Formats: sequence, structure tokens, C-alpha cells
Amino acid sequence: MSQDRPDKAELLDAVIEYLMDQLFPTLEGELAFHARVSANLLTILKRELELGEEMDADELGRLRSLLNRTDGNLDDLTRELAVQIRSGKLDDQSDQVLVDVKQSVEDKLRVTSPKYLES
Amino acid sequence: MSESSENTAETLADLEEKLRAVTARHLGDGVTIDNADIAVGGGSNRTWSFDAVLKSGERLPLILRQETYAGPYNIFESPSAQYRIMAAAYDAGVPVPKTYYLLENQDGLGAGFVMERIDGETIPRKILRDPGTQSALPKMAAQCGDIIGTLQSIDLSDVLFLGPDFEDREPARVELEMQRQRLDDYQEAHPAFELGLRWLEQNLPKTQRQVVVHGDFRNGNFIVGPEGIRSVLDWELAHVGSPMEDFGWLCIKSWRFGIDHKPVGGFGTRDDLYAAYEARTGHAVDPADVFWWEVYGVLKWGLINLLQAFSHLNTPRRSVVYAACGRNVCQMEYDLLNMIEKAP
Repeated sequence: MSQDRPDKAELLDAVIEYLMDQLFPTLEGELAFHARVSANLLTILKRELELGEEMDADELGRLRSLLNRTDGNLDDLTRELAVQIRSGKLDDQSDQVLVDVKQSVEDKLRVTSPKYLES
Repeated sequence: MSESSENTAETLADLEEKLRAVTARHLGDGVTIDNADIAVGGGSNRTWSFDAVLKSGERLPLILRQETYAGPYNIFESPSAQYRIMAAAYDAGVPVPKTYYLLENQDGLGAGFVMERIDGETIPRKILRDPGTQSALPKMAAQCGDIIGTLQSIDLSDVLFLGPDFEDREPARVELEMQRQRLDDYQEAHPAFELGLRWLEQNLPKTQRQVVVHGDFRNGNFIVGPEGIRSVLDWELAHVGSPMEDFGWLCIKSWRFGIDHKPVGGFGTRDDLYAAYEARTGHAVDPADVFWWEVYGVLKWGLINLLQAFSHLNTPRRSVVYAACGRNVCQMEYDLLNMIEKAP
């Protein structure tokens, strides 16, 4: 069933605008800080709704290729990668591991704090 | 794990009465409490500012520091250990607030202690950008080197409360294993942190000497006036470890607050920092070791953010700020991978 508008992103925009344009100016100190953090989390969520699915698919592809697997989901393969790095099993392809892991970290930053990538 | 934090005062009036009673016990009958006010909460504590007016009329500006994180996976030293290391640092000549008394169960204020209140700026972005502290900035890196050197003059036999079993061990390896254990405690897979741990393990530093380490020595834990650093705060991560550890932590990117061309806290140069330390102690700084401790520091800061998110998700200590910490973790992962990539 298709929901009526506002759609997901539009709903988030409505709450973000309320928090920042109306609520935030009336608050001080810790409360103001928490309102700003809340609005920022919703902004993160909005970017994740837009970008997350494709990023997850890309990451799954990288993990399967790196671990030489044809199946396995994102969580399981991420855990497997962590275990293999720790055990030293991937030491002889450490350059490729670094490239792939960095790609995933950069994708996380594109969702959580895109400006950080410019610093 | 530390003392119980139960029975914490719930209202300002209640707090003032309890504070009056405990302060009178330590500083003499006839004490009154004035100007009590809650300041900001940190990662592990809450601080109240108040004045104690003694019978003689003398007014002491004080801070009550209460522990707020006593739950599972607490990584912070107990208030009594913080109190004792601050007193030892004060006696050694480190600029640190004078400690007055430690809370006891009968005080009904939870775990914590009372210390001197020192005026000045603590917010890093203000220290770096406000006109009032600009005159301090050029001096601060050398002050940091001097303070770290002074702190390291403390005899380890005087700080056995920080953990008595620090003989015959490699401080870097001990710290590394501790962070690995923490990562396992939080039950999340982080390949980037695994790469960091692997690099640290394969590049262990040379320095084996052990000294008192502040553990959170950085821009944000300094009280600053126009003349420079007045005092060093937040001793809850103090421990015995490598003399290079505080240097690495002080220099990580997160504490430069956007001013990356000043690697020491966004305010100074490594040359000034190292020269002042060497002048104070006669020991040379090993830049390769400091680099190792910077990589370690980025990992440690990432895991502290992970802890905040973990405690939000798994304990009653919930907050939108701690939740947000979970989504900051990838910043430290990014810094960590960049450092490993360019490592010699």
C-alpha cells in the first residue's frame, strides 16, 4: 500500500524544521544542544533512506569478493571479515582489505557526516 | 566498577542541605552553601558549582563532581582514585584543582568528591577562536610539554591505587589488549578497528619506561585564561603507562577542532611540545612512538564513542547524545585508516 504524502523524507523534513526553526531558538544550554543533535540524527536518517540500500548492496559485493563467497548476508560477512583480519589470515592481501574497508567507511560518512570527507 | 551512585540528591534544596552537612563535617561547623548550580554533564560525571561560606566569612569557590556512569563496562577510574591522583598531581606541581574531600555513603550524594573551582574557559572551540584566549594559544603547547613532564615525576610507588601490578609489562601491549577486549564487549563487528588493532600489534613502540599517564590530556580538559593553561581537569582515565601515551592522545585530529595545521590541540606545534618536555625531564620524545600512540588514541576515542552508544542501547543510561555517538564512530575509523595508510 502506498502511503499518502508527506512521504518518508518529507515527514523527516517537517520534524527537522520544527526542531531547528521553532523549538531550538526557544531553548538554552543542554536542551538546545540536544535539540540540535536530534535534528542532526533525523538528517542522517534522511540520507540513509536515500543512499543506504545501494551502499549496502555495494558493500555486500565487496565482502563476497574479498572473502571469496557467493552467499552470506551483510552482518555475517562483516563479522567474518573482522575475525579474519584479527587472525592475520588476510595479511597477504592487506592492501585490498584496506581499500575495501575504507570504501565502506567513506560510505558511512556520506550518510552520517559528508563534510568530514572534505576535511 | 566503583562505589554505588544511589541516593543522589534529586532537588537543588535537597542537594544544598546534603552539601552543607558534608561540607560542615570537613571544613567546620557554621558553613553555609551559596550559589549552587548544576553545570554540564560529561561522559562519566555531573558537576555542580557552589560556594562554601565558612564561619569566618571566607568564601571558597567549589565544584562537586558526581559519578554518573557506574554501570556495566565502566571504563572510568572510581571517584576515590580520581581524587587521589589529583592530590598526587597537585603535590607534584601539576596545575590541577585542589581537592577538598571525598564523598562517603553517609553523605547521600552518591560517589564523588569536592574540589576547588577555577575560573576560565574550557570549551575548545572558544579557546581556539575567542579574542580573550588568543594570547594563551602560542604558549600552550610548551605548557603541555612541561605539565606532562611534571606529571611523570610522580613516583609510581605513590600511586599503587591505579593498579598495583604494573611491573614487568609492556605498557603498549597492555593498552592494546584492553582496547581489543572492549571492542569484543560491545559486540559489534568493526573491520576498520580490526585493521587498526592489527597495525598496532605489528608495530609496537620501543619505549618501555612507565609513568603516570593522565589518559585524557587534551584540548577540552584544560581551563584556560589569557595567560595560558590554568588547570588540567578530568582525571577519570588516569593510569600507569607509557611516557609517550599522553603526547599521542593530545595530538589526535579530533582535538584540533578543525585547525589541522596546529597538530597540538589546534593551538601549537610538536616542536614546542617536545622541547618543553625534554627541558623538564631530560628524556627525549620519540616521534615514531608518539605516532603509534596517536593511532592508538584514534582507536581509543572511536571505542569510547562506541561505548556511549552501547550504553544507550543496553542500559538505562539513555540519551540522544549518546545515541549520536554511535554514528560518530566512522569518523574515527576514517582517521584511523588514513593514518595506517600513510604510516612509514
